[in-house]
Amino acid sequence: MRKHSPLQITGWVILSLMILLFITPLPTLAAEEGSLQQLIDATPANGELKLEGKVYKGNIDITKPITIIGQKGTEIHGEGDNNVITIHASDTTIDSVTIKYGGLSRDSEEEFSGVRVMGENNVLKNLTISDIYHGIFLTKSKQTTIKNSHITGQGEGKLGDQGNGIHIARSSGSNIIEDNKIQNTRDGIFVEYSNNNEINRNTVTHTRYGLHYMYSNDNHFSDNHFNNNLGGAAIMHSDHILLENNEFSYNQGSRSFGLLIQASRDIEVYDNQFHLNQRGLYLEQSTSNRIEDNDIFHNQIGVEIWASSTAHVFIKNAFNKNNSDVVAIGGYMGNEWFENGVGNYWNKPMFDLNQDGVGDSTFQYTSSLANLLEDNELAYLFLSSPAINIYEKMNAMFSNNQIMAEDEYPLMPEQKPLSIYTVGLIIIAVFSLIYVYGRSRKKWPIFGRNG
Amino acid sequence: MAYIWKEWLEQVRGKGLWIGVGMLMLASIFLIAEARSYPTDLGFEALLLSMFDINVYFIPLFGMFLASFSIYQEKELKTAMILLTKRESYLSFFLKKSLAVQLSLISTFIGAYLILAVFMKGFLVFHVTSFLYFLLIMTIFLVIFIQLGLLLGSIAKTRMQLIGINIIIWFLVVFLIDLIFLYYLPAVTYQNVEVFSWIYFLDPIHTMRFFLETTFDLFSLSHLSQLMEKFLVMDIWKFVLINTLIWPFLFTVSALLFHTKGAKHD
Repeated sequence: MRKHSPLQITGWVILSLMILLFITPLPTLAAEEGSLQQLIDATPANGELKLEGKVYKGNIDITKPITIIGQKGTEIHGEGDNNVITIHASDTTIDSVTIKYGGLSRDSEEEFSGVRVMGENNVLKNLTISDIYHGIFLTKSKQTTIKNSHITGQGEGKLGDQGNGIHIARSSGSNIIEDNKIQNTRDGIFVEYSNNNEINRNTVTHTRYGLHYMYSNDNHFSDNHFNNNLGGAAIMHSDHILLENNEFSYNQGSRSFGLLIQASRDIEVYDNQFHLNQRGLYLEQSTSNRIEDNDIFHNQIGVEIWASSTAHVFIKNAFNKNNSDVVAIGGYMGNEWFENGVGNYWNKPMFDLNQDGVGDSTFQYTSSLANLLEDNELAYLFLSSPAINIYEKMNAMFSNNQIMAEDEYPLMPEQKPLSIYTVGLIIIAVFSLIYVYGRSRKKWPIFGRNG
Repeated sequence: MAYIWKEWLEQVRGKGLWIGVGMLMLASIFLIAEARSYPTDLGFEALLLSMFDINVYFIPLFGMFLASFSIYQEKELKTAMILLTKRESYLSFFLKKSLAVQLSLISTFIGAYLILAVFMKGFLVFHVTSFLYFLLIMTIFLVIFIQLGLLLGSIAKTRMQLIGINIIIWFLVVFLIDLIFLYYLPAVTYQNVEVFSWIYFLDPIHTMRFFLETTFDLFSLSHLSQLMEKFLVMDIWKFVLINTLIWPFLFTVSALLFHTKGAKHD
């Protein structure tokens, strides 16, 4: 038998190892990818799958009703070329999972998402979703609940590069979206061709529109916070929507608004707060909407109504410290600023000699800004200028001001007692004045030594 | 150093500075009280912007008045004449006087803002970075209007002339320029908006406010219309820099060219 030298043996061993290395599949991506899908496949229908606090590889398909529960550190990472999780089944729950790396390509058959839901009665809760195009996408889905989840989009870039936080398409019937936080997406929550859904207690910031309805009727949204978006909420081509107790604030930009109602009717806007927006409410090509009991405070323009928008009823709204309370662009068109002896709180000096809580004479809000704003978008740059009041006064003097709103029953604001803080601040202010006055009694005169 | 100490003592002993600072603080305290009702996330920044809007009235008024009277009195009381005949050129006198007035007024106003910061911290969610941006902008604002005041004090011949010119310039800066803008606004089109932008942002009031509201995230620069995209010809901080350099320089050069040496009595 031929003997091999130690060098030859070593060479054969190395060669064998190299061949072994090439023909054996790597125990990394594919295996792990398979592992989560295998775990899901191995879970019986209506069973529960508890995941460990580690990273699992997607993408995964769920085709039967199961419950997947993660824990701290549980992450599902997609391959970046598709939906990370696709739920074809109904009655599925996904809880406490971080989802990342969905497909971002727009050169594909569909726009991908972190979770795509196509079944009914599914629950998605306590999810953290980022590095995706759309966060969660509902298609033809009913009774889905999306709760307590945090979705972060691609940030501010080209509009086309960003998906929506939650996209609800052709999904009519009791879908509930509540207690979520959404930021840096195109639209926070986009609802199209979807009726009878509930959107409550969500916070949406740094998006184009916080909430956007298109062709979606009979929806309800309440107690949401829409802060620092291009537009708080945009209701377009949608009817019979009720919104109440929402906060629209800091939606600032030359085209920004708290709430836009466009080409929609029978929208009921109750008890909302519109604070520090470019425009509080913006009404265009709409009719027969009811705006009641809202707090419209410190906006550049409280309500901007275009002439294409008519037959709205505004009552019991409190206008306070807006640079311009109402701007009716294209002229004052038949909108009602009172109903059954009840108007709005204008917070302007007026008499109420009979003490019935209603001003004694008709309140007319006049302004000359409408033409200016209609002509040039850049006029919005001057709304906080000290010159704007002089501009208004000069136009009033030359009878160029137009009636923006006419309220026959203006409401008198309730007299509130001074708070302890205000009293404290007034005391400080008075003492400051006394101090300054005390100094002025000394021998040094004004503006220098002997001036 | 002698100039600075002398100026500081004169300003502190005069009423004008304390009236200015007092009014500013009083108005700001009421703004702070009101800001407690703002939504919290950007409430502090919205307050700072409101304070800026109040300062648009106060800073030009008091900055110009205090600075212009300070330099005018040097002429009126003949101290300028004594200095200029002995050892100083007008250039060195004006530069030293400028430095002294700038330092004494700016330090007092910044001190007032720092005292106000205590109230802000007490009543609101305080953001240090935003406050520092606010202080920076107010300092630049003061520098520009104090230097303008020094120019007015240098060229005025009588006290009445000085008061009149101060009031006219204040009205021009705060009200009239924007009024002219508003009347000419319909003439601004997509074609000429860049020229309009340059004129608009060479007004320090516009630039400083725009800088603050964009830095504070109170004015979004995303999803702009084509007109607005074209209107923003360059980053706003560059306009801040241009305003910071160009106006004090122009006021200084103008003061050196057009100053009058003595004061006539009315």
